[in-house]
Amino acid sequence: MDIVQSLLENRMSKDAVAGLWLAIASILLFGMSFARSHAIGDNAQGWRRRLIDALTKSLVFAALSGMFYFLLSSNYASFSQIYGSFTIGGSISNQHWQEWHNLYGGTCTQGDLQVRQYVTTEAQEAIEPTDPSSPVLYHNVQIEQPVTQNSISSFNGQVTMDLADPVNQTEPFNGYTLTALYEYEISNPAATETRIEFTFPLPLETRLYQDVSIKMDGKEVSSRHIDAQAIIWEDRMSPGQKRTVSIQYLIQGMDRFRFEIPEAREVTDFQLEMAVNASNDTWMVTEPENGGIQVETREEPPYQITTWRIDRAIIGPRLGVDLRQMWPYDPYYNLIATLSYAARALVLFLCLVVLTLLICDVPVWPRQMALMASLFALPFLVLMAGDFLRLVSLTPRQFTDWQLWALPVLSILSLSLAFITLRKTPRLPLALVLLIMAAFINGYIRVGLLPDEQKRNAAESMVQVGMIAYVVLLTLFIRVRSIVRVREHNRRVEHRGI
Amino acid sequence: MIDRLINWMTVEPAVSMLMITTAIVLFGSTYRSLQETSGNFWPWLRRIIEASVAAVLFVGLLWAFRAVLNDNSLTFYSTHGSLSDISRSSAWSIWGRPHTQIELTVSHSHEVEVKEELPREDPTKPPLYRTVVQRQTVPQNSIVGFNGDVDMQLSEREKGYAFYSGYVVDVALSYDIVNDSSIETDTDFTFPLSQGQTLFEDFVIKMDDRDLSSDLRFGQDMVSWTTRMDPHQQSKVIITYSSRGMDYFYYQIPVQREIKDFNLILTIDRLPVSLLNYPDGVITPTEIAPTKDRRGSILTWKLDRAITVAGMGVALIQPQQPGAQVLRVLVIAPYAVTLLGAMLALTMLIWGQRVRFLDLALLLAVYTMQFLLMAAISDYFFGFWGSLIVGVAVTLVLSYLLFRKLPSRPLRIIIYILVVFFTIIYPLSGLMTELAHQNAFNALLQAGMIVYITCLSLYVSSRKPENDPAED
Repeated sequence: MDIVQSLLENRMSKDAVAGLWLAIASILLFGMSFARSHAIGDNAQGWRRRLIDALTKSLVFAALSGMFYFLLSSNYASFSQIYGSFTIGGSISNQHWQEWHNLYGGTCTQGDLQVRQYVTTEAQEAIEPTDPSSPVLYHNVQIEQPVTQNSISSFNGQVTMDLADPVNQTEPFNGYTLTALYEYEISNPAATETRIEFTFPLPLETRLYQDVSIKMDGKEVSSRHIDAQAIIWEDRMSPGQKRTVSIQYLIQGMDRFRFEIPEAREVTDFQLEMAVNASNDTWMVTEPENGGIQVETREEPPYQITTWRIDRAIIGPRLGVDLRQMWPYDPYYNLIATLSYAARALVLFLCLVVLTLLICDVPVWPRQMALMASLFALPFLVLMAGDFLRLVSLTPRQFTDWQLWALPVLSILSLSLAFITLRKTPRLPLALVLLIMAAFINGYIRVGLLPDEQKRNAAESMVQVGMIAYVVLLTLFIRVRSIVRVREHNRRVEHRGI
Repeated sequence: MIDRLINWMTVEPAVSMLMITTAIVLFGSTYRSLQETSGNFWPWLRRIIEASVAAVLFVGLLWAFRAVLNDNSLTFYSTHGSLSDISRSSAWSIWGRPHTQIELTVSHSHEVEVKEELPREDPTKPPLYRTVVQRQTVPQNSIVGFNGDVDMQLSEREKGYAFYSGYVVDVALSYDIVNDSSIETDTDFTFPLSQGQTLFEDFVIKMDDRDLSSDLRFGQDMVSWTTRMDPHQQSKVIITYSSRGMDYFYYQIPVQREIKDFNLILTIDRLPVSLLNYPDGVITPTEIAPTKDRRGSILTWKLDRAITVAGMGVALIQPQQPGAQVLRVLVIAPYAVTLLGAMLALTMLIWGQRVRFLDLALLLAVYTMQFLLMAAISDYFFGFWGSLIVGVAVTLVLSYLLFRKLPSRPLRIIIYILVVFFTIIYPLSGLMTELAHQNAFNALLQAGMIVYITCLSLYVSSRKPENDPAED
């Protein structure tokens, strides 16, 4: 029973409003069915039968609603599992994204070159004897002391990012190819010769670095090696010497690029120029935004070039570009957003139909309700078939939009069959039921297209208000109409009497 | 019991809903058909019990045939392409595991004499030294060029009742090694063998055309040797062998180093370009071309001045298992029998006929026979299509004989159409392998069933006289 309880709790918490409307409709159906079954008899046995018959009818209605709700929910779950966004493992979008990720790697965060200089001095070190009576022994040791001054006197970076054919790709995930050239001017601020260590960090998620070149004063550094996700080499520098280090590579990545100085230091004569070939789908990131960084942007088609300049500032900047995720991020979003409301719409529709029929004093039959529920679910089931019938010339995004606009056409079949099914029902409830069906198939589910949750909640509240107003107004109308009819009837009787 | 029911409804919502709906309709129909107007409680209770028995009987009947078909598909699965982990491990242990070749590693070291200072009591005196010999590594990136040629010949292997994607691989790896330092070094070479591999044949390592067989040390899935290299000496190490493997081939540079003049060519004899797939964590080839006969693929990775630890390789597709198509049809047979039974009962009830349980049971038995026949004969006589045709023919003929005496001709035709659909079209839907296609078919089938039931209901009600009570 635990699973039943958890299922009910889950459904009730998700669709509390629909559950309450269903409960109200079922209770009213029970009460009206019981009240209208006088023909069976009012003795104790007859009362028991009336009670059980009414209870059965209302339970069958509730069960039917629940089953069709469940049917649409589970179909929606399958649909969203296949056509959901790339964040849903196993979805079509996710499979495409995985392929792109395998090809392009992940985001790229390039850390600044780390330069450490050491001055070597000689000192005497005492060796404490293990035997206290023995004399203390001494030996000479070489001690390396780090140079605390800033070694990087200037930086000039040129980064060119080419997005993976943003116009012609059928699946433009944010893949890019990036070439980078960084030039550092390094100086030895100490008065003695130093040993200098260079550590150039390699971005973690980058899968392949090509055309890697590291030069010092124009000569390729052959003694470099790679360790702990960084290119490392060392050299010696004379007092006051200045050297130029240039680092060049070509990589591929996705989603964003950053150049950062992880720990704040004195930054002098810093210039980073970044060219991106798709300015509409990118935005530049400058952190911190405290005015210490000058940013200039200019157009040189096909590139938009941004230049960051920093001089004589103590700062740890993060500079770069974010790419806006476009289509296959969630190509079937419109359908996913709207179809999620289908199951709830079905329950609300059935409740309103039952209430309409009860208010209009029309008998409610389970067969009719089952057919109404089936016809309501019909267009949604066709949409949940996905893009099986998609023409090759249409992209999934276009097809999804087209499907959504085709919903009114699909609903014509349901409305026609519903009209034929209810053709023996009086005109007013027939027209109202068809109107409700059309409104809930074509209107209610579009609440899902509203851009934020606040608006969606507000729209749903308005739907509740509309439903309550509809029930109240219909009841008043029916009452007034019956009073008018009684009066007219009385007047006619009086008139005939005269 | 209720938990199991809910679980079943969660897994098969459409089938379960249809079955329950049909049972409810059957209950209601049976209840109405038992004429009792006295208004007494006990006769009314009797109607309830009889209607309940009819509904339970219907559900029980469908469950029984579902169980038969479930058992049939399980039995067939146990001897057809059951790719269990145990069988796969067993196949690996016999034929060989996925082949993972890790790059040769080269390390240089040399012995140097260093002066070690002796501790002294008087720090003002000049230091005294002694000479000791130390081994120091000479860090350098020694591999300056690589040419790899890997030929894979696919060789499907059979273990138990399943086929596995085995292959034979001929590997020739040529490394250009240099001692980039200005000192003579002792050079240690370590060549990892694919871990847990069962066989390496024609294993030869040559250095500058000299066979190193006598210098090789084998142990712990590694081959190692040591030579001396002069300052700036350039050498060529060529390693060749043949081996076997399964599922995928993978070449990896294990630690980050600067890759220079790297060229790996992987030729697969019977894997067309359209079916290429890669293991996780590999970089895609820089060049892909078909073989001359266009039945295979040639993958090339060309790298220079590059850094990566991502591997290079290919993943093979799983071979078609014996009886795979039959199995796919058998798997959906339990759903098919439930849908057919429910649709048939609903059709008869909507038509206003009583459900004759004997006829229903016989039809389900005949329908079940189709799948039992397929499972029994597909291996021996006709294959998938032949067994399907035989099964369909038997089912259709017997169904025709079963319902030929039905008084209403339109109802008879409708039943025949239903039987034809569930005998031919529905089983063939099992051949769809894409999840999206399966989902589309199921959604459209549900939509089709709704249209069918509604239209049938409207057709039947339109044929009734106006004064006939239209509702249940």
